[in-house]
Amino acid sequence: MNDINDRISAVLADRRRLLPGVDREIAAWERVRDRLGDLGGALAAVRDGPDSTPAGLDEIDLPASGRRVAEVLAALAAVRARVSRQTLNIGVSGRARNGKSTLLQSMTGLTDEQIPAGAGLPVTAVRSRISHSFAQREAVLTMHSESSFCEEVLSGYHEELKLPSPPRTIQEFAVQRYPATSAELGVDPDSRPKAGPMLVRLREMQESVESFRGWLTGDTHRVELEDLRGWVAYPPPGDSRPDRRYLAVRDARILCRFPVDEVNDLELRDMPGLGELTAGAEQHHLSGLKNDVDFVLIVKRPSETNAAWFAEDAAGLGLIIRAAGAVTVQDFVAILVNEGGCPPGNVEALLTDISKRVNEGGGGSAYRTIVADAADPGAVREKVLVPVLGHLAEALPRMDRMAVDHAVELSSALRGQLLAEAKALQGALRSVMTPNAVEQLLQRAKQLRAELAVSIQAWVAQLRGRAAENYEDDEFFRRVESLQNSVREWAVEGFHDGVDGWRTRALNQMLVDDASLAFATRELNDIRNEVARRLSTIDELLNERRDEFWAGLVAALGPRLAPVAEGAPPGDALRDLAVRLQEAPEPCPELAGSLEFVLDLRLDYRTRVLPRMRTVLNGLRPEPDGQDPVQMAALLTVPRTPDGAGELFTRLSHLVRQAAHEAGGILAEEPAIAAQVLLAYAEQFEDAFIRSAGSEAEFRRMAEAFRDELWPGRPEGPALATARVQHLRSVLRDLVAALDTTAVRQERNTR
Amino acid sequence: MNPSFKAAVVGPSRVGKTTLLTAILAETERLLAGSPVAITPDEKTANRVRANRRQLRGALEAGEFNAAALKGTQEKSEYTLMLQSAGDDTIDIPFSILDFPGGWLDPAVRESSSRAATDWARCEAHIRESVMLLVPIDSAVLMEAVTPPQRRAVPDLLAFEDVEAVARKWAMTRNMEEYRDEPAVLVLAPIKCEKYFGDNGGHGRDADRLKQKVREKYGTLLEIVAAEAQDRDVRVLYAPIDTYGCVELMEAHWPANPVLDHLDFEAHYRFRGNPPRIAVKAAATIMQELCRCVMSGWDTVQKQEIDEYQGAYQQLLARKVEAKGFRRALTFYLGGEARRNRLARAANQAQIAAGERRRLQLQEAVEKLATTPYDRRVEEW
Repeated sequence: MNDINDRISAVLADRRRLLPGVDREIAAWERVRDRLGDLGGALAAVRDGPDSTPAGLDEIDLPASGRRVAEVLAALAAVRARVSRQTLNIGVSGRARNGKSTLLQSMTGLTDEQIPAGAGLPVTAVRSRISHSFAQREAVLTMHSESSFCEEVLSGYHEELKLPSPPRTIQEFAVQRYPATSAELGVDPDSRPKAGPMLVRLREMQESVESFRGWLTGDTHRVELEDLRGWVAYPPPGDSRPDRRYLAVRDARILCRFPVDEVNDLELRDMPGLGELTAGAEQHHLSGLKNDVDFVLIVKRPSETNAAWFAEDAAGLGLIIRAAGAVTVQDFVAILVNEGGCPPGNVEALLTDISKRVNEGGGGSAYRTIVADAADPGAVREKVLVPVLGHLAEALPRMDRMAVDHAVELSSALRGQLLAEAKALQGALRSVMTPNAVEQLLQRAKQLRAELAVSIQAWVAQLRGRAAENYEDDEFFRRVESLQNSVREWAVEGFHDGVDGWRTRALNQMLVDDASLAFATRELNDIRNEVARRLSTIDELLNERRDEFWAGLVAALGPRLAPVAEGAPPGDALRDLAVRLQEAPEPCPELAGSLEFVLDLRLDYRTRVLPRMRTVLNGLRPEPDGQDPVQMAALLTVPRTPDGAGELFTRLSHLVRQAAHEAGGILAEEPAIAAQVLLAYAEQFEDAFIRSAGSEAEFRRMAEAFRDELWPGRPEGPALATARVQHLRSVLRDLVAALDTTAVRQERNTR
Repeated sequence: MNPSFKAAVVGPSRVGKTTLLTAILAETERLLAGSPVAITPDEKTANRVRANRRQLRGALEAGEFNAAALKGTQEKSEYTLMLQSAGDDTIDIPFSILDFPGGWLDPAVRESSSRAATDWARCEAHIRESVMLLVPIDSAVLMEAVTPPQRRAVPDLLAFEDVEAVARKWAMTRNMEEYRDEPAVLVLAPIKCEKYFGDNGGHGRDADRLKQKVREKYGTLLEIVAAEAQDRDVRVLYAPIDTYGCVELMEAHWPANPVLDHLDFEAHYRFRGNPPRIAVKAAATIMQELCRCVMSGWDTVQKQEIDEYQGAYQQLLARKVEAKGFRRALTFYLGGEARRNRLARAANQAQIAAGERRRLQLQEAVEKLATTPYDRRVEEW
């Protein structure tokens, strides 16, 4: 046995070394599966798009490929389950009442308290895993949570019994109204014999819900082996308050020291009884066989009514054959004829039947058949355990290789197929001319430049219209007229004092000065400054014109390029854009410069109008430049009498009226001049922004730097069609890349 | 009826034609000062001139001068000025200046106006015989129109259509064969130019702008005249006139005309200088030019008489037999017919000799006016 133990330990160690590779392969095929999902979406987008679908896109059968990938992943999962086992796992299978529990007792040294093996009705409610351990002797129970109980236990019953969706909580289950008989179920009459007992079992579970409800904790619960039976056995028949704690147990692992202590890494599995009427029993059984065990012992006890190989036995063996997968089934399974307490004739009859029906008369395809009394630990050790372990020590490496080879074979075949299909699709897409990212950027930059040229030209055309001779800036003229009138009225109504008040003040001051000229001079200086102040209020309107100009440009550039913050002046948006163009990863100095040029625009009174206005105001100086001072002095010299004061008022108010009139004439020219200035600025901007030497290159930079703002979200139109095809290409590239990471490719590369 | 030297005036009424005439008189008087020749209006003209001078004096007293709003011409006016010998009021050279509404050229207008129907034949004859077409222009209307609605009102306010129609008619007749050797002068005379010039007591700097505007706005008129008088020369004079010299445009208003679809124009002037002094400028140009026409015509007649003796130009001779209009006036006043008529009435030789001397003085005065250099503002275009 020590030799067997060493060999088995070596096999298990070899397996573990394979695990990382298997995991990588699974990850690679999971990526392939995901990329196939992406491919489905990308293909659908191209097909559903408004443009004609390139030929050859229908040649890939994605659902079939998806199924095949699932097969590869299942094979890999089986390999992973196999190579990740820490122990050699032997499953004990067979129909109820054939001595499975008895065999397990003999192999493990456990008793009825841990592995119930009573006579009559089935007693094993929870299938256990039993591991050899020198040190530990206990059971580790993993409990269901309420949700796992509903999903894993109740949903199976509901599905089988064609009941509506299962309860989501244990409380819902407790109050659920189930049919009283199978006749009330929605199943067809042929299924009733199976459905009836299943419904009874479900109702029993519901009736006893209080006995296990409190244990649905999802926790791990350690139990002394002496106390284990209450957790794993059905309650005895006739129990008025049946204890169904076993329903709360999701998994039971028993640790104890096996009598065959030479084998260290051994785990025995109590497989669910074949033919037991629990929901999903067969599927559960098959899954366990596939993923949890290296070998299966089918226990068959040839009692008086059981001395032949029945259909149920054949069905059970069929499941095991399916579970063997790529492994030779003869290596995977042995039939134990449990002779304990059976007449030798029955044993013989069964062996004959097995030889005839199962082994088809012997030969290479024969299943290993062992005859032993399952209740006799010595016989079990000698006749069962030692030969089986000996067989496995020799067969496991072979079995492992076959499982791996099978997965690799599947993987390789599918990889080849998928690569061929992906290449074919790539070939089909090659005929579709779509710009690459750089070309797309260039195209966008060109398109942006053309679009902006159009909108800026529209803006310039609008300004040109305003600069035309026949354009009437009514608002400006109204404002000028109103300004003119305000100055005129101020003068006519006696400046600050009213006519009479002014005359009185003038007379008094002239009498104080004993001269008229001094007062008139001071007064004229005051008047001139007041007129200048009043005229300068046209600034407001000129600034409005400048802001309108900027707003027009902002509109021409569009909200994505020059967004305007709520309430902020339009110049801010242009300033911000200029800064961003300057500070872009690749700066656009010419575009920024053209913006700074228009931002430097000044239309204000001081720079635009004041120089000409000073010539008007010159007429209000006591000694006007370029004029005979004597003439003005003569005008300002009046008799120091009330009539003289009146005369002076008339003359000064006439001078102011003339100044207001002349100022109005100058200001009235302003809309035309301002319009010409604005047009000139706009034309200069358009030239610099669109047609300067660096414009084309800087538009490319701008398109790159402002890509997210300019083209947010999904593309549209031809760009969208391009994006769809580009996406499909990208997904195909990813699929090919994912296929390249599979083990087969890696192997090829290392060769 | 004795013949006269004729000029036609066309322009909007109340543009200041009487003021212009007053100014012409005043400045011609200044030029003739010290000579034995005087310029004298006939009685009707004298009344108008007196009224105009009275009005100006009143304005000077009031300290503010408001020109009346311009309105369409409704009637014709004829002004007569005579260059007269100081010692003998029977020795004179009369100049007749006719102002009439341009609209009368339209037969439909003439039909609707009994006055037009009555006076048209005389107007037509006057235009035919006018050696000068005088177009007074209100310079303020041209210069103060700054907004588009104001600028749109200018053609109506300055009666471009009527002026052009009269100019066409005048140029056509001047181009006719029988008038082709007579002078033809078109005078574009912006008036009330005080604000725009700096050479007459003001500080204006807009002389060039005014000239440019006149060229621009009257370009069509000049083209019409050139087109209609293709077979002869028409002398075009640009003569911007200060009709007062002591007023300066203070402010202009452009009230909406409730009837017409354009703005009206009202100018307000202030007096400049203390006290303001009337200082007419460039107005004498009109009389000087008329005198130049007379002298030029006389030269032509004398040359033609020599040709006549040489038996040439039979056709011309035939026409001259029936001399009338300008030619008749020339021969009547400068050729001695007037003198002979008077001689027949004269009683003695001493009177005859004195009369002949005064006639020569008058002729010299005309010559002097014709040859005195024009004001520097005046240009021949």
